[in-house]
Amino acid sequence: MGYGSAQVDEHGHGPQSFWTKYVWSQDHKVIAVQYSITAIAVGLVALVLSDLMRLQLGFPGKFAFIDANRYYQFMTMHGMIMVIYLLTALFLGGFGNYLIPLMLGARDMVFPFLNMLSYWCYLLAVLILISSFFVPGGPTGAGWTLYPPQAILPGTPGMDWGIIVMLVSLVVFIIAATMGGLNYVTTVLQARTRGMTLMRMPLTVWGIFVATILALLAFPALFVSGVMMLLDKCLGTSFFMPAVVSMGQHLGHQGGSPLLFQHLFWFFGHPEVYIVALPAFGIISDLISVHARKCIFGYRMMVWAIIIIGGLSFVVWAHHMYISGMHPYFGFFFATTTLIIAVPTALKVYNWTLTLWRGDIHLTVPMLFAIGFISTFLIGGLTGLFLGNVSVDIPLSNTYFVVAHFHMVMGVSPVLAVFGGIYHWYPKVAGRMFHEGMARLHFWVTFLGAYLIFFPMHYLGILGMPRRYYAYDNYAFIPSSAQELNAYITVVAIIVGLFQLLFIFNLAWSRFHGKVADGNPWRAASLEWTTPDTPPGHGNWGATLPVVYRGAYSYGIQDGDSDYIPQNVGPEQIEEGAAQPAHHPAEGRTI
Amino acid sequence: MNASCTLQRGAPPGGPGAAALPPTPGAGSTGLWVLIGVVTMLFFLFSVAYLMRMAAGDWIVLPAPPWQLWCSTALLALTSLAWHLAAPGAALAGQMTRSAARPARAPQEALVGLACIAALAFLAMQLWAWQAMRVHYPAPANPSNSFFYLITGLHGVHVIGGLLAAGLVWLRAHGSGPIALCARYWHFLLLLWLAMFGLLFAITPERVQIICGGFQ
Amino acid sequence: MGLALALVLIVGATVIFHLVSPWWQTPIASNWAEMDAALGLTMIITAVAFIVINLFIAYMLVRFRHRDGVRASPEHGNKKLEWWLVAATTVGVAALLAPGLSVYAKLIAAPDQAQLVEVLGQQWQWHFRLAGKDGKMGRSDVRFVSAGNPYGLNPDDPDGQDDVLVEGQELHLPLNRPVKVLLRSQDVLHDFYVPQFRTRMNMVPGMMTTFWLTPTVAGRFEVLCAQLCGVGHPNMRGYVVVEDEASYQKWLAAQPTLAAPAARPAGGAGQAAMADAADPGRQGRLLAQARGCAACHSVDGSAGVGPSWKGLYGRTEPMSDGSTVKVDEAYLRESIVTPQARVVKGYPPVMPTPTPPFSEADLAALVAYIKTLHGGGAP
Repeated sequence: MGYGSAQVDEHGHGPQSFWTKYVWSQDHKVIAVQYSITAIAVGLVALVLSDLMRLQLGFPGKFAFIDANRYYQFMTMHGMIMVIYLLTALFLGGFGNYLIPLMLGARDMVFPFLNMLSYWCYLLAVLILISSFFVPGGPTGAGWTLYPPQAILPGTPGMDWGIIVMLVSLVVFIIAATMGGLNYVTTVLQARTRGMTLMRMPLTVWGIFVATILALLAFPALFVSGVMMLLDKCLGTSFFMPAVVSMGQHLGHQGGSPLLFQHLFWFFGHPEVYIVALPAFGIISDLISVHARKCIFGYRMMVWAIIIIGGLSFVVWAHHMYISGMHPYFGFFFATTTLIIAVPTALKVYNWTLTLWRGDIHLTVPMLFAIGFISTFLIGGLTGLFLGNVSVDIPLSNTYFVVAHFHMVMGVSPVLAVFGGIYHWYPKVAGRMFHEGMARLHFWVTFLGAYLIFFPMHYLGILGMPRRYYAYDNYAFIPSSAQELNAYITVVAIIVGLFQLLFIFNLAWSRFHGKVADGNPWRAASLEWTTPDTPPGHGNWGATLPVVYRGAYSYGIQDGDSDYIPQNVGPEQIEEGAAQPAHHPAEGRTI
Repeated sequence: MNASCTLQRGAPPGGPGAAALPPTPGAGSTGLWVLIGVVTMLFFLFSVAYLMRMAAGDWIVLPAPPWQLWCSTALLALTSLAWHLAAPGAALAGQMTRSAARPARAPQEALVGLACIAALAFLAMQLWAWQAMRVHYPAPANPSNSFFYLITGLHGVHVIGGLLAAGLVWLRAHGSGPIALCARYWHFLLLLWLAMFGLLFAITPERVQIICGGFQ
Repeated sequence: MGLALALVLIVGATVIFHLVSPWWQTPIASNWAEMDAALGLTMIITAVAFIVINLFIAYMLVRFRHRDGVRASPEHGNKKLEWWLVAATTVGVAALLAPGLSVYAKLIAAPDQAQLVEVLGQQWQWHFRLAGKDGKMGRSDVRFVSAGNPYGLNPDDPDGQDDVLVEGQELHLPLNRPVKVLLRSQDVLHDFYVPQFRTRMNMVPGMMTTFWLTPTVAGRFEVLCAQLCGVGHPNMRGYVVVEDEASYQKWLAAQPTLAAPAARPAGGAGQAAMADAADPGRQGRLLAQARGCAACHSVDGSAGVGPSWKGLYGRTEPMSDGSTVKVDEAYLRESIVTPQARVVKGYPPVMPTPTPPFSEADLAALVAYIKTLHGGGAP
């Protein structure tokens, strides 16, 4: 391995160029940042698309370039980008890549080359998706759910090229996600440092780990349905296409089942929302315990809740299909399983709340976002109870109630977890503190704005306003006040959207002008904060790997100078009287 | 390097371009099991879609399998056998000292080569089977045809992937670990092929109706 | 402290909003009041959970805020409390599920004597069919669908001869009689949604789906398509009129059937060839409905995605590039065959090129139909 070369630096590297260090890197930390930047960049595109949609909804017909075709194209791309290319990629590829080796005491992922490949595959998938804006006919406007037959028939925008490009992009993404997923799962199972048992892992790792297993098992269903739809479109097969008369013309398909697509899609689609939610759950558990200086309430039950939610997520999918025309008996089964899954989820909400009880709550920026998460996830999850209960769902399905529900539970709360997590780990990643004032302003606008936007929207759904409508021309049952409400929601949404730029600016500005951070400014107990360097160097731990003696939540210590014990502090060091971490004399103790 | 008992894999990292870290014990094995799980899930879902579509009532049953498919099955079994023989041979070689390992390498290399050639022959035979099927049973004509090409094609893609990995192993002449992993993957591909072969040609709508009872 | 206050304000604001919100369910017009009750129960239980947990958090944010010298409790959890909470949640969930499922069981079991009504969905309009005096609907299949037979009725089926093929986009239903709605689609997924009826179902090409209800309130209700079906999805509007038995019978008698399309100039949707002299635009009208033109171009002057055809022929239209055009046959043909060539000012350039292209006979029929739509006034 050539360590003896005189040119080797203190980490044992040979000469590195900018390209091998920052572009073709196999270092999980660099890959994580690459994933995060790409995901956030494409997420900003989707944010702009949502603002364009809101312009049409709030001020119908006033913006001539947003016609019906474009509206549906914007709507589809917004949804697909947000769910898959932003949230899934960011939680798994961004947070997962960065934190898993550090929290486990590993030097890197177990398959670094594969890890690098997975990022470039992901980037390729993003580029293919963006290219759908430039193909003849533009991107598909079939909705992110891409239901056949409409997705590949005239009358839906992008039915000639856009849908093909979308499906190809998804196939490439699934390959990237599988490569990444192999890494995360294998690393968790095989590369934990000595003393790090599964039940000593921080909940962030548990959340991402179980989410990755879900991803590995659920994305194949999307792959299957995507490939079959591609064949229906390109070869004229009839997997999903029954005999139809489209725009006056009898087509050659026959015997296919649109419901088959829906079953396959939602068999993927429901676990997908837990692929987004479970890492968020894990991150929030860690944020709350660190910033309330208290052990997460009921760690074991929290782990089991994550596992049970993950398992149950595979048997609830048809609650997206109550009005699909599927066999009615399925409604009983899926309503039951869906309401059962509410129980472990509720337990998690209780435990986050109870962690605050008799805590020592520091309202830092990460804590603000964590509390914001609990509040918004609570309402999002509660509205899920309406939609999971089959007969209550029937009048609400495909209305704005559904839109409000999934935005709260997928768009708002996990995004608050993303922000909280980024602010929380920013000092470790960048070696600097973010700008406090900007971050607080960002929190308040985002949190309050989310309520202002999405709470009233539920009531439009209860009224019966359908979703995916380009305009609502003179419906007698819709009062004009609903249109005014739409206008107000648009204004708030645009303001909140603009304020997200503050977040981006803060990250960039603080990288160069933020206060230099010490290795553990939050005095957190988990391993990632005990690296010898901040930001961590290649190989993370220097010459010696850490050894773990306890779980990640030893807070609330009553005696001694410090109220917490890091995971890598052994009992003999505690007996010595100072709850100091070993091997890191350079780290300051800030109480 | 610190020889303290707290060390696990304390070697400082090497160059940045290659996999600079010493391999984690067991990682390859676990990773492969996970990959096998994912591919199983993929084909399981295709099978479910296949069975659901078959229950729709207008199914046209595939004919008896063309003879090429029996040949390709035999070739895939041969591949599996070759890998199986190569793997314990490699394990034996691994237990010897470095110098004694060299003579045992030659038959192992030959077996790996045989396995790869048999796999290539398998792919060729599958393509021949496609040619035979396409005459009377082209892909878009009805769903059972389409599924035939789709499922066998996807299996073939995974065979190609396995060949790429096997080629890397052959060229780099790694030790017993990678060869045992390859063997495992190829056994999996054989089992998968047998399952898909059976699904396509031995499962009829009547049997499916008994199980599914007509649920849509 | 600010956050605790914010949570309290959020709880207060959401409760007040709920109480004063003008946006609530439409007044129910069917027998499914139990669904509203289930919704109400869910609202109460979830509201309690929302209020209690948010206020509890707000309280703790104040009570346990960081103070120098005070440390957090070292507790790791409380198994007993957790299990009690699990039990309580399970009871709450069961309390929601039980009424929900019992309503559902009734929803999926239509009474035997329910009147059959068929709704056929098409991009982007509705067709309604009722069983005739024999009480049986004729068989249909999508392969029979044509411009003259939009319902795809099997011409050889005797049961279908007296089927009532409702004219236009307005269905009438008799008050207080259970009706089972049979849903079909000839092209893509649609959803027959009347908010006041509460129950509804998707329409899936290749299969038939159903739902049932008993209309209990007379009135004229709007039908919306509630499953994205392409660019005309928001324009797919229909009406249901619920009326007393006498009015309903009068309406029913006036509807055309397959065997006897009404002889009124407006024509029926039947298959029998009518003298074109009596109804010169008939072929064009059927084409316009079959090929989806009607989704964007109204014939009564009302605004739509595209210009209304009423009074279009002979008018002078301003184009988006500033020029003006007198609408004549040549212009009409051009704007059908190559819609992107010239776009009327103020309208989006979204008209798809007709695929497959219209034959010469069809083009002539369409133009003839447009010519019959007199009436002055601006579009």
